Amino acid sequence: MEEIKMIKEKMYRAGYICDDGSATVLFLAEQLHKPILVEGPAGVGKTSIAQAFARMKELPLIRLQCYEGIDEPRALYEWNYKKQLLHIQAVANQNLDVSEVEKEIFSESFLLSRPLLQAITSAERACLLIDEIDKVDFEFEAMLLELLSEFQVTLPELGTVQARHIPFVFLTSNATRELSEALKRRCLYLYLDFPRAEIEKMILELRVPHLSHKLSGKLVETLHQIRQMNLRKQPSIAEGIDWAFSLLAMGKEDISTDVIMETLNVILKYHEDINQVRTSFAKA
Amino acid sequence: MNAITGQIQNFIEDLRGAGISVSPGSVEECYRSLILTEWSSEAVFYTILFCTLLKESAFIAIFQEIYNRHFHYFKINQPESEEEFRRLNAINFNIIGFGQANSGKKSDQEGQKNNNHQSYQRQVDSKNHYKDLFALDFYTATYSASVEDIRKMEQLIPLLGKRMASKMIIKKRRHQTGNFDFRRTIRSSMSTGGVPMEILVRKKVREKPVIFALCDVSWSCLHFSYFSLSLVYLLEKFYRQARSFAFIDETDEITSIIKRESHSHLRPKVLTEANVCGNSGYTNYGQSLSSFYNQYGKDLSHKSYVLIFGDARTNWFGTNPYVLKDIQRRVKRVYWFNPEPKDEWGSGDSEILIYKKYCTRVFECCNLGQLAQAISDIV
Ligand SMILES: Nc1ncnc2c1ncn2[C@@H]1O[C@H](COP(=O)(O)OP(=O)(O)OP(=O)(O)O)[C@@H](O)[C@H]1O
Ligand SMILES: [Mg+2]
Repeated sequence: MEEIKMIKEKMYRAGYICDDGSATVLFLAEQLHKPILVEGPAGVGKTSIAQAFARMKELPLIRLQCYEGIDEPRALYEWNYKKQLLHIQAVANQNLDVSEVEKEIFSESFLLSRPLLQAITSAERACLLIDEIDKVDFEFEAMLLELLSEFQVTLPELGTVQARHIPFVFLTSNATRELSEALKRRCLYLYLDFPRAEIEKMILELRVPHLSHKLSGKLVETLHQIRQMNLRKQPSIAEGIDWAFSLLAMGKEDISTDVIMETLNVILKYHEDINQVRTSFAKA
Repeated sequence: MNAITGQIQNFIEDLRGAGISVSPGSVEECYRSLILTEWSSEAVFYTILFCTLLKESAFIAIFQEIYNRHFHYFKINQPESEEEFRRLNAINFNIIGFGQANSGKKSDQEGQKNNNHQSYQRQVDSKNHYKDLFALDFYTATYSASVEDIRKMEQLIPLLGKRMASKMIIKKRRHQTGNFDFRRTIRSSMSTGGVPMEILVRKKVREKPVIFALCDVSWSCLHFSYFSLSLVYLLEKFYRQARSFAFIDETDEITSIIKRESHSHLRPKVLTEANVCGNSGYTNYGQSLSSFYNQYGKDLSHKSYVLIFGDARTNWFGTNPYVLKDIQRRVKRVYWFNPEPKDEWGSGDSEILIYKKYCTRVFECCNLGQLAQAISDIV
């Protein structure tokens, strides 16, 4: 198919390997003007698909990193309180009309735009990445939902701000909690899992220059073997990339079982996982 | 190959039957996407259904199975090449009857009608094929559900965790709004000539309850214990101070096992590593409660919540209700989660009605849905 093939190719040039599935979701999001909700285990490329998409479209990427307790002033907009105070101090003995001063200090030059407001007011269309949305609380989620449905916000002091362009929106989630039905309904759902071997091999070769086919093949094969085991934390794509870099730095062209054993700490974070993999490779 | 629309409709009915909520809006979106896209590979077709109809990772396994059942023809007619798939694709479009070149042909429309009728018939036939796994009772699950169903139920466990997490966030927010701290604000304004540059608020400290969870891991609670252990595993993640215990006729702490193992390995690990079998090896509630209280009673306080997961089937051994009474006096709440239906409480060797007197609440938890509800009532 032409469009989907094209997206795969362009994303490749932007530094990201899409399979048919993820390319289809990107295609549909663009056609239907819908945000994409990306879920999946840690380190499978949730954040980087948004980054690559922005690169592909040559659009600015505006990123809102969510965290527990994030609020509107941090995400949407805030009045520059210090600047306002200083202004009041400066005009204090000029005998000005109070309502004049008030109008002045609640004008745009005292406004601090945060990512969400930036995304809808930016001069060109933007790509908005709302990263780790499962960290926010419910009121914040409701605010986001409204923003993503109306693409406008109302600032009590300035009135309603309408989006100049509807941004491309990516929301990522580590699924630590359930998101509201309404928000999920707004979005297309992209579930990124650990990739198939041939895709992962392509990713490694794209991300790690000078990696030979032979080494990448062996790395991916080993990673897949390890993911079959029941570990506390499975090695992700990110760890696979780190692993490839370290092996290259060590000048290894082929990886024997010994080399795997020595470098397991690059891809596994827990001591008991390392032990388990060691034992199982020692047996083999 | 039959009308694809009817087939998709059946597919959606089965998703709903299995407890996946699919809104009419999503269905419409699914059809729109199917029209917009050329299905150059099965992955494209699958992804369209997936990204429009499913929004929850806990249901992926169920979704896949239902998909495989409905769209098996991709497997049978195994489109070897891309060419072949394109041909199938062209046929699909004709059958959907949307906007494609020859969709207006009369014969197609007739065909569609017939197919719709057939597919309705099939829908009726297959109505009961997919059980809502939230409603499947643990007892049936233990003795007659397929291994597949049980595996899928297990995959729903993380969903309970996510629901709990959502609930906790709402609660936390309610308690969190701190008050304006006048004194600190004024004091900090000294350095800026009395102008309050920073507004300071007082942070509220909320007492976190300490959870003590006791799970009956005996044969009669076989399947329930699987789920209760998984649940305790989730609790462990949400309350920093959650301690867990298992018993048959002896109680042992299993907090460290729970911390270490993934939830699918819990039950066998508990049975082999924890000291839960005393002399008889038969469930003995009286002895287990005493054993718990003697070993760990000193750690209970007014901040503790005690959660007991079990059927209160005592094998006619002693019940030691006074132990539970002592426990109740020392702690904030005692909750009991019973996998048996209410009508059976108190029949035979079930002593739940005696224990009930010393519980803040007893929940009937015959299935995952009820268990989820009970947990969300208490967090
Ligand atoms: N399909 C892909 N093509 C190219 N690079 C990829 C792909 N998938 C993952 N990567 C690489 O893997 C690494 C991890 O990706 P990323 O940070 O996007 O993961 P994530 O899912 O957002 O992780 P987390 O859950 O920890 O936020 C990055 O270096 C990224 O470039
Ligand atoms: Mg990320």
